[in-house]
Amino acid sequence: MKRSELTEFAVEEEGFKLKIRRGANGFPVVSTGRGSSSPFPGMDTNPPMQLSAASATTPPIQVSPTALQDEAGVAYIKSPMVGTFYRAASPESKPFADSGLKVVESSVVCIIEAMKIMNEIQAEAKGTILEVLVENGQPVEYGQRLFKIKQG
Amino acid sequence: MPTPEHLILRELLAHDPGWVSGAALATKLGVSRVAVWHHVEKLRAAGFTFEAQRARGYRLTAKPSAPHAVLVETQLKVRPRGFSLLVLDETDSTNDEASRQLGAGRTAPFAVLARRQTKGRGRLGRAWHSEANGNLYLSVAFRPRVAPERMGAFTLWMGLNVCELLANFAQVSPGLKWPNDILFDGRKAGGILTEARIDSDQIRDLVFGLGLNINSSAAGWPTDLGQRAISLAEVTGAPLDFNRLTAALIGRIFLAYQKFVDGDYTRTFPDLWHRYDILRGREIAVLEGGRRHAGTVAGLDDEGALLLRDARGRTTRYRAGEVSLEKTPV
Repeated sequence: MKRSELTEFAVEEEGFKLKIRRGANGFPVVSTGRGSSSPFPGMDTNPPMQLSAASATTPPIQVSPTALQDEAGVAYIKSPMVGTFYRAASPESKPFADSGLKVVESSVVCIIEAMKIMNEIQAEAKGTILEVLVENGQPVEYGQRLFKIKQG
Repeated sequence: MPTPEHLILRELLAHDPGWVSGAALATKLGVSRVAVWHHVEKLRAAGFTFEAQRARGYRLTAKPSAPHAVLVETQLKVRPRGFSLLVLDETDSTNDEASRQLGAGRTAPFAVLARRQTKGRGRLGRAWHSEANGNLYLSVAFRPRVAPERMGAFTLWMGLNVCELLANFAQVSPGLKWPNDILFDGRKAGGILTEARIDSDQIRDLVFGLGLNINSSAAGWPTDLGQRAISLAEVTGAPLDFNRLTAALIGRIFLAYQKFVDGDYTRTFPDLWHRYDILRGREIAVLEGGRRHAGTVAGLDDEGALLLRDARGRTTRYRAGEVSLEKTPV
């Protein structure tokens, strides 16, 4: 896997899901799970598999999507779901959070639209935003880092 | 506890358009006939009109066409435990008010209804025309405490249920345009905005918002909306009983929500989808994150994402986005 350009590889068949992705350190991260069996018989399901355009810097998916401590005092606010990332309530409004903003656990930092639901995402950590890691309107994965924050 | 006004209205509505004697109402309420008269006067002030005859009692001759708390509550057939209804003359947005009420700890589920919104909005903060023109601005709030990924096709499921309720209530043929519009003959009559607040990987607050053009007249629209918008009254050719329809919608929203969280919707979803979906086989463009993707609608996946087949025969799924119709069907 290391030699190939592939950073993520997924197989899904008969209710079984296997996902291999190259982690930040070059080691593959393997995850398996029960594949989704469609609850809507007779409808078009199982779209062609897509290889996500995860870059080599994409961190491995971690179990908890909440802000986890990484290096000393630095943490990441991660996406609790798959969806589309929005920095503001509307294209004309001010972003919820920008670099330098102090946040507390309950601060709303962004909206993620998933399955037609606009989800307000809270910081769930106290600190200062160091960096916004995703561009407005871009798709995000479960566990993807959205904001880098300095805790405290 | 139902108020005396509730009880009187319930009786009169049950006998509508017949008469209910003052003595019968007095017995029902456990008060004097003078007290009954006093409560009837209160209802009169709220926009009801009554005919009163000494020998026959009272009967309803007109109901307010504006949102009215008692009128909605007395006609509500589905009433979850702890339910409350908040009717406002004006608010910024019923979704925002519902969200504030959830934040302040109000018992869920509850509904917020406003005669007019000053900042009515749709997806991505787009303005929703919200004058006091006989249209519905409704939000229903829940505390589901489920993981976001379990909400799957929630908004679509709710939209389909609203379509079916309207079809049955007013004998009309609505269509659902993915992801959240209700249309009649290509003109928009309703929009859905579902908003959630996530807390520790769970949906803590969920607000289902519905804007529905019920009794507005074509002349009342701003010119830029006139061609694209339509009201139920324009479709049926007559005004609808606003409060009765609102009560029916709220009841249906509760039932549909309950079925969804119980996982009891997957059998009926495909049927409803085939009945009300207007996009299947149509050539459309999806606008997503500033990019435009053209293709033919192939269906939905099990998460409610739209499947689009492009000119090269490749199918892509879209979880979010804006749909524009490329051609009208022949």
